[in-house]
Amino acid sequence: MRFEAPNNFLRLSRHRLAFREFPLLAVLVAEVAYFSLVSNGFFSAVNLGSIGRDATIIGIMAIGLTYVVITSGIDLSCASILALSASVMAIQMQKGTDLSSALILGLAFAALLGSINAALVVGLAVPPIVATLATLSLFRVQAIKTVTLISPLPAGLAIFAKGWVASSILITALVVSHVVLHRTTFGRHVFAVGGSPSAAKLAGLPVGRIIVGTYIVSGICAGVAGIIASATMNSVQGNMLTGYELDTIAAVVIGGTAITGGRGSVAGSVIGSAIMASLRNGLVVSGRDVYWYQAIIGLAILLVGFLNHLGNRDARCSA
Amino acid sequence: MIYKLLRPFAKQSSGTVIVFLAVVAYFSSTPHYFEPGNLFALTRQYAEIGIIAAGMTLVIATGGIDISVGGTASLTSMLIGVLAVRHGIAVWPTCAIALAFSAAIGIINGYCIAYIKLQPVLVTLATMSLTRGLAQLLTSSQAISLEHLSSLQSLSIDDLSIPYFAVPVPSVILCSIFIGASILLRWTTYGRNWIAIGQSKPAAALSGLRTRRAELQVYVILSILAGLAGILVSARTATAFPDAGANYEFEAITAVVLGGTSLVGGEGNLVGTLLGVATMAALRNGLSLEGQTDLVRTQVLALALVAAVIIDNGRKRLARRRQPA
Repeated sequence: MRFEAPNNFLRLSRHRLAFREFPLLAVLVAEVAYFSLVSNGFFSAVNLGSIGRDATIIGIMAIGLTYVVITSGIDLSCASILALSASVMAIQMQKGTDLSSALILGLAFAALLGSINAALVVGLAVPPIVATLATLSLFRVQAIKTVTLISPLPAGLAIFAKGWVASSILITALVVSHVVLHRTTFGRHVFAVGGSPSAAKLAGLPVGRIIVGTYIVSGICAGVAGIIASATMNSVQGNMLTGYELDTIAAVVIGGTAITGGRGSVAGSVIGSAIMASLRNGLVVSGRDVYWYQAIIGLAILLVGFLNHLGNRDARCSA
Repeated sequence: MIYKLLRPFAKQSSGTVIVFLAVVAYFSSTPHYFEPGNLFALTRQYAEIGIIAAGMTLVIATGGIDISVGGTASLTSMLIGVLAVRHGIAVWPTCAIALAFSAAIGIINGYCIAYIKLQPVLVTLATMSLTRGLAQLLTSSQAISLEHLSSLQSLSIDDLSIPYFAVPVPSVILCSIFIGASILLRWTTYGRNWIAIGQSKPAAALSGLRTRRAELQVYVILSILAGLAGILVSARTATAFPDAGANYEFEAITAVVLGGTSLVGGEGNLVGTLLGVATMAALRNGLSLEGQTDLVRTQVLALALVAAVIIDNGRKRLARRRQPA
């Protein structure tokens, strides 16, 4: 009996992958195939590499956001946290602080920004959408005021721009988050809070502390994404990646995490990020107006919501 | 009758009065702040936010939220530019078409929220992205000058002369919308249904109210008002530009919450919202007269939004303590 656990774990993950993520992968493949057919430059090593880098940055933010969304919260400020923590990091590097302490400072600052969100949401009972809408612009403006452009960055940072380093960070984050969410007490609590906050409270869970945890995780993930983004561009700008919070939210929602909470998967979020990144890139490379992208994000979110609704209805009918 | 309108105001908005007076007192030493010219310019400019805030009060009263209003306003503005200037359609039919478009956005919002039961945050985030994207797509993000459309500009520039006074047209529009919304909210079954939904949707549905239809109504009303605000911006600036309506969702939500309407839903306080709009106008105008940059103003706005919600939470906690159980 005791040795069944790991076996069961494998079966469960395979089961999940087969049923939940397969349609997503199909969408991704179809999308890549479409853009490869309509444009010449899309399916080339260089272009796929740049899509991969974009997908990594969005993906890491999306992994953090998934925690928040599972508790039925939302974090609109993730791209602003990315910019502000990267700015703090870059200023430290400019001052001549050595690389590792600058990185740690940047990440700590990102965690601090995440805990500001948490303090507003949990401590002061501000609805998540309002709190993070406010910090979205507060953090962004602060980043623009602190840094206009710092470039080049120390040579040591370039290691994070390498494809295999960035992707292994993404994969590590993915695996760790999958295990944390599905195999630890904290993860189970995160799902419990999202499923029903009042039931979780009655069951004696520290609901406030769990939610604080999710916002801090989201902040740290944004910080990590910020390191990779600044290494890739070899520069830090206050207005870097403005508007990427929408890509991230779309990635999480498309990945099958319910915005009402209680349901979600980080693997889905990462595939969602790849879908968003190749969409953004594909539209540009195939010579379409970039502005299509923003309109399509909106349509995609609505469409996924609608499909989920249909799925739920079927489940209810068959039950 | 007046009592019925003012009762929620007196109950919920004492904080707003204090904040308003504090803001005005803070800027009282700023030169030109109290000049009539400045005040009139302010009413022309802030009518746009006020109109949206009136509709936002209704949406928030049902317990929802709409962050797509800025996008709807910008799409309306660009539609006017494209239809009236590039295709040469007359001004008023253009406005009607643009308003019909914004109503369609409202129907999308309302349908997804009321009938498909998606989260208001998610739906309006999506339509915000959709409308902003479409607004930029229409002209590849180019602005269009509307200078020769004098009949459109008269909407913003003209004064309506009542005996002894000359009242700017936007203020007249703003006042009539507030009076209309107050009547709807306080004295009709529509308003009572909206409030009932905000207090408890299952209870409202079980009592036989048509909750879905009622929810759809508020989102459509708000989007039409956002479209109207888009028309007024284009009239005031004599340009159609895709950035029209930036931050409108911010300022409207802040004004509503500052006015004492709780984000939880179940109450609507239009008199308070009007005072909230006045506070936002006083704040914003004071900051520009002091010569602060746009960045600082954005930050102050964001802080004001958070502060308004925190003040509102404190008010509710006080009220709960005063009457236990």
